[in-house]
Amino acid sequence: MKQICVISGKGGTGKSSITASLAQASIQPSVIADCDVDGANSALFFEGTDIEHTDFVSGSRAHIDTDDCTQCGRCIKVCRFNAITSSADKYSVNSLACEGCHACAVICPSDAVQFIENTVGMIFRRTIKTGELIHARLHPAQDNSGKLVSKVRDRAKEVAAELNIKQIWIDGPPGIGCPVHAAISNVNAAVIVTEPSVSGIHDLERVSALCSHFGVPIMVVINKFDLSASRTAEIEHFLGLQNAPIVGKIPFDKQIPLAQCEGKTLFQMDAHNATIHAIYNEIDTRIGILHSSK
Amino acid sequence: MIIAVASGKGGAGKTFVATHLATALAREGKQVVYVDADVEEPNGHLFLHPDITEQKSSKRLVPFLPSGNCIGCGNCQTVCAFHAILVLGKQVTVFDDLCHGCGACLLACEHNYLSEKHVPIGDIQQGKTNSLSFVGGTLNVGEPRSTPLITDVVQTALASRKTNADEYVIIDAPPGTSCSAVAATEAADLVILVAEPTRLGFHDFQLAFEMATVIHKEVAVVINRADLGTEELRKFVHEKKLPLLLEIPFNDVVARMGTEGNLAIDEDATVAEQFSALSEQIIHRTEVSGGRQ
Repeated sequence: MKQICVISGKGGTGKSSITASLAQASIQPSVIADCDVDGANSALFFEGTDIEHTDFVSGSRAHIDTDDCTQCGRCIKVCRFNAITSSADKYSVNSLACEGCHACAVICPSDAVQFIENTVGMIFRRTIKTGELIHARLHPAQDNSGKLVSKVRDRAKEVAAELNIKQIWIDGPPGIGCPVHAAISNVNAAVIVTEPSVSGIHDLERVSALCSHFGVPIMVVINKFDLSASRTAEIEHFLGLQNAPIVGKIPFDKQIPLAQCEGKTLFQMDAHNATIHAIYNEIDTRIGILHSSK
Repeated sequence: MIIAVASGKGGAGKTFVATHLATALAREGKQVVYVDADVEEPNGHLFLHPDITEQKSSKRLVPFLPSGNCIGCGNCQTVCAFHAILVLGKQVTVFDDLCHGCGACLLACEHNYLSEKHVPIGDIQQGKTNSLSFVGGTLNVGEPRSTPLITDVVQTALASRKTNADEYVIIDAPPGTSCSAVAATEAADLVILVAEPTRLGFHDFQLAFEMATVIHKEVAVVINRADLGTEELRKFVHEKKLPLLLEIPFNDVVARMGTEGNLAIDEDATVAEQFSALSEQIIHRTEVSGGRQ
C-alpha cells in the first residue's frame, strides 16, 4: 500500500483540488484521507453520503465540583494555561483554555477536580466514485494536536486493507506544525504544491526542510507557474540543489475557482486534465503507486 | 484597537489584507504595530521589508531529572496526560515534543527531584518599516506546537506599545479554526475574516465564523477575489448581519505583486483607494466604540 501526502506549507495553493484530481487520474480505486481537519474540503468534490460517523475523543477537561471546592486558590496558582477563574462564589474552568493536564487535580487538597472526556471532533467515511473518502471535522477552537490527523490516517489504512486498495492520497494541512508532522510521517512521498511568489517560495523552503527533517522524499508541483518566469526559475534552482524532482506545472487560470464552485476538480476541466494525468504518471514512475511493497 | 485578520482557508488573502490595512492605517497618521502570528509560515516580512532591530529566542519549559536522586516511583509518568514521560527503574526519559509544559509532573514528584529547563521553539523579530512597527515570529522547523510561540509573539507586540491611544495592532493570524488561530485572535477586539466566495472558501469561512463565535469575538468580513465565485457567502454575511467592510475584485496587479514581494497599495490606485476606505471604516468604528483596549 502506498501513501502519498499532498502538502504546501502555504495555504490556498491548490492542495485539495490536486489531491482529488490525482485520485481521479488513477485507473484503480483509492482512499482519500482528508487530513486538513480544521478546514476539510475534500468532501466538497465528491458527492455521497457519509456511512460512518465516529466521535473523536481526545484527552479530558477539568471540572470543579463547587460543593467540595474550598476556594483555596492552589489550582489557580498552578494552572499554566490560565484556565481557572474565580468569581464571587465559585471557581470555574474555561474548557477551551484547559489542556487536561491534571496539575490542578494533583494540587487540590479536597479532591474537587473531576475530569470529563473531551469530544473534539468527528471522523466520517464516505464511499465515492474513486473509492473511499475518510474525512474529519475538528470542532472549532479545539486543540489540533495531530491526533485527529493520525486517526484519519489509521482509519484510511484499515479501509484500504479491508477493500484491498493499494493507494492512499492524503490531503495535508497547511503549515509545518504538529498536524503536518502527523500527516507526513511514514508516507512514501510528500507532493509539495507551491506557487512562484515570494511567499510560495519561502513556505516551500520551510516545508521541504521539515520533510528532510523527517526523512520524507519530496516531489513538487508548481501551480500558477506562468505568473512569474523568474520566480519559477528560482524554484527550479532551489529544487535542483535539493535533488528534488518537479512532477508537474499547472498554469494560472481564472476558470479554476469558477469550476470549483461547480464542484469540479482540475482533473474534470478539459484544459487541465492532461496535466493531471502527466503528474500522476510522474509520481507513479518514481514510487510505483500500484506496486505492492511496504 | 487590536484587530486580528484571520480565515478558515489558507491562501484567502490574510497577509495581503493585514499588510495593506496596516500600511493604510499608518498612512492615515496612525501608530501601527503589524504582528505576524502565522509563525509556521510567516510571510508579512516579505512584503513589508522591515529593518529588524531586535531578535530574541522564544522558549518553552520541559522537565528533566538533574541528578541521580530519583527513587523511581513513577508518579511523574502516571500524572502526565500527554504521555511525555517514561520511567524505567530510576531513569526518567522526557519526550520534549509531547510535553505541554504544564508542570504536573513536578507537582507529582514527591521529593522535588524533577527540575525544568527552557528549550527554544522559535524566534521573535522586532523592527520597523518607514511607517509602522513590526513584530513577527518564526517557528523552528521540527517544533510541533506553534501556540506557545504565537502567544509569546502577541504578548511581545502588546507589551511594545508605547501608549494605548490612537494605536492599532494588526495581527496576521495563521489559517484554520483550531488552537493556533485561537491563540492569535484571543486578544483581539475585532476579528476580520478574509474569505473568497468560492465553494471551498465559503465552507471554511463558516468554520472560521463558528470559531470566532465560540470565543466570543466581534466579526467583520472582507471578501477577496469577490468576482470569482457565487453569492452564497454574501447571502450568509447579510443574513448574519455581519459588517462587510470591503469587497476586493480579482486584480492582476495584486496577483503579480505577490510574485515580487511588493505592496499593491504602492503600485495600483484602485488597491490604494480600497484600503484607504477600509482604514477609514476601521478608524470610524474605533472612534464610535471609544477605542476599547
